[in-house]
Parts: sequence; structure tokens; C-alpha cells
Amino acid sequence: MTKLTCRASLVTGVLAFVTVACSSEVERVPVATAGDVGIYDACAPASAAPDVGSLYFTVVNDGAEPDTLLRVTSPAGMAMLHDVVTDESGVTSMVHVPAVEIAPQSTLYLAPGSYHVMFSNLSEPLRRGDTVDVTLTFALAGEVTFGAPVLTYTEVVELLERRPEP
Amino acid sequence: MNRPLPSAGSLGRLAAASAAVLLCTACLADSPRPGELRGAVLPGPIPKAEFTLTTTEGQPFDFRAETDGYVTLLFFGYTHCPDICPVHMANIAAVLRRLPPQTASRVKVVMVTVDPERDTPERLRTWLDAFDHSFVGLRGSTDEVNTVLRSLMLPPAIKQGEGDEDYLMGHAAQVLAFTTDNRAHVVYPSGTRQTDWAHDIPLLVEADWGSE
Repeated sequence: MTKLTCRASLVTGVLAFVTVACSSEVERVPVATAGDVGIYDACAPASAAPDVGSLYFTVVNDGAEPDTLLRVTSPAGMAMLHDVVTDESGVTSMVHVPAVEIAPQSTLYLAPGSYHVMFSNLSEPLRRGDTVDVTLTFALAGEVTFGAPVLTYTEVVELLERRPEP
Repeated sequence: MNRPLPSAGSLGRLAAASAAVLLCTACLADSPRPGELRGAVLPGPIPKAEFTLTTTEGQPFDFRAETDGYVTLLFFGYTHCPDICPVHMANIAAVLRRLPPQTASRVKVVMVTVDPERDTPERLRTWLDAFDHSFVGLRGSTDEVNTVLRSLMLPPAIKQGEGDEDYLMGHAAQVLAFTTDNRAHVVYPSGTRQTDWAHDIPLLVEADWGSE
């Protein structure tokens, strides 16, 4: 049996993950862990607007207790966790989410059109090949810091669509 | 190396495959059957709106006249949007780049900003160029854009937040696909994947949608 490991902390690593993700034997390696929480699939698309960006990742709670994502911060700019909602009239909006609970043995997926981190007031645009530093604060696991590679939108979409099914 | 002659069986399979190709071509000549498109088929088609807004180059753009004869993907969004708007544009751009030029050249993409206060012509052009230089960016006053939205049976955009700079816009998140009959039979909501666009755009281009 061949086991492939990959790390999503570098652009090349992410592309390698995308390439091998179709393989049935992929051991997913978190980009960072804290307590019972593991962060996977971190990536940010290159900015189309100079001062705005987004960030996606996966949080796996392997613990026996629920944990709560309380805060996202980044030296790149203001970071805020958003969800996307559509009202009865058909207006779709992003709404700030102060905190998200992750049940024991469950996974939080950030994805386009769903939970995502919005970067605003970026001091510099996110350029492909860059790494954007991010710190997440959890109620139980505490702080976890990692670097999210900046990819093209298509690379981001491909990476996120190849995640294991929720 | 000697190439073996085709057997009767393989010729039969070839004939069957050719017939299938012909049948498939015939299918493309008709409008897609229910369920064939991956977009959300509307219960009734939306006529192409007649409006004129201003391009990022400052020129008037008569939407109906300028897009006549093309499959036109119309979207209302804004450049401070971090998620839905850029993902729609990126997905469409990536698929158009991969489609045969004879198909992609029959598609126009038009994005109308719902945030004319912050989306200057330069900012909107730069943002669209990050996806595809051919994408058309249009601006108008808030009232003009909301009038267009209403004419397409879409809700007006809503400013969310009190700041002059730090606010978000609520808006219709679907892409309307107008076909060559100048009607939109199908829309593409947020979450439409590149595989869905790659499946549907050739059908939208090739199908005979009849006339208005």
C-alpha cells in the first residue's frame, strides 16, 4: 500500500495535493494543529481588487468536546469571518459571524458561497505565490497560526472541491 | 508496422459511433431538454432588458444591441465583494479559456456594478482584467441599476453598513444567461462550479432557441 503525504503550507505543496488527491490513499496532513483541532486546505485567492481578499480552510475537531472558532486575525489586513445568506426577496448578503461552534468529531468547511474569511483594508494585494499569515483563536484549543498560500481562483476552487465530502 | 484491417465488428461500432455523433449534433440543434442544463431553468424565460449604461472606457453600452447574437452572461456585483462575485467571474473566465475559440467567441460576459460609489471605472476595469480583459464592465447611478434589476425581475441592491467606505452590498447573486433569442431561460446561482459552466456553455451556444 502506498501512502502519500502532502502539506498545504506552500504553493507547490498545495498543487501536489491537488494532483494526488484523486488517489485513494492520501493521508491528509494539517497545516497546523492546536489541541484537538486541525487546520487543513488553507488557501487564499490572489486579490482581484487591491484591498480585498478572502481565505478558505477546513477545521477538523477530533476532540470529545465542542470547540468554537472565536476570532480570525492576520497582519495582512482586517480579517472577519462571514457567512452568506439569501433573503426571501433574493438578495444575497454576507453577514459577520462572531463565532462558529464545531461539534465533537466534526468538520467546519469554509468555501465560496458559504463560510469564508473576508480580508479588507489589505496593506498590499495578495499575489499568487505569497503566503498570508493567519491566526485562529478557539475557545478550547487556543490560538493556532499558519501560513495560507495565495493561489489563483481556479487553484483555490480545485483545491476546495477535492476535499473529502462533508 | 502493419496496421490490422478493421473487422466487421469494429466497422459496425464505428458506424454506431458515427450515428451517435450525428444524433448528438441533432440534439444540440434543438433547445436543451428539461434537466439537460445544470443551471436553474426558469419557469418562464426573461426577455433581455433594454438599457444603456456606461462602460469602463466611458462609452455608452446599449445592452440589447451590443449583445445581440451572443450568449450573454449578465451579472450584478461589486469589486469589494470577496467571495461570490470574484468566484463567479473566475469560474466563467477559466471555462471560457478552456473552451474551443469558436464557442468562447460567441459568449459575452457583462458585469454591472451595484456599487457605483466605490467602483470607479478604473477600479472596475482593473478588477475585471484580473479575470478576463474581454469582460464588459458597466456603471450607472444606483437608480439606473436598480431599474435594470427590476426589469429583470431581480431585487434592488441594498447597501449594508453605515460607513462611507467600509460597507457591503446585498444583491442578486445569480448570473443570467441570455441566449441568441434574446431571452434568459436559465440562471446560474452562487455555487455554480466550473464543471457546470463547461457543461452548459456549449449547449447555450449551440442550441436553437427559436425566436422571441
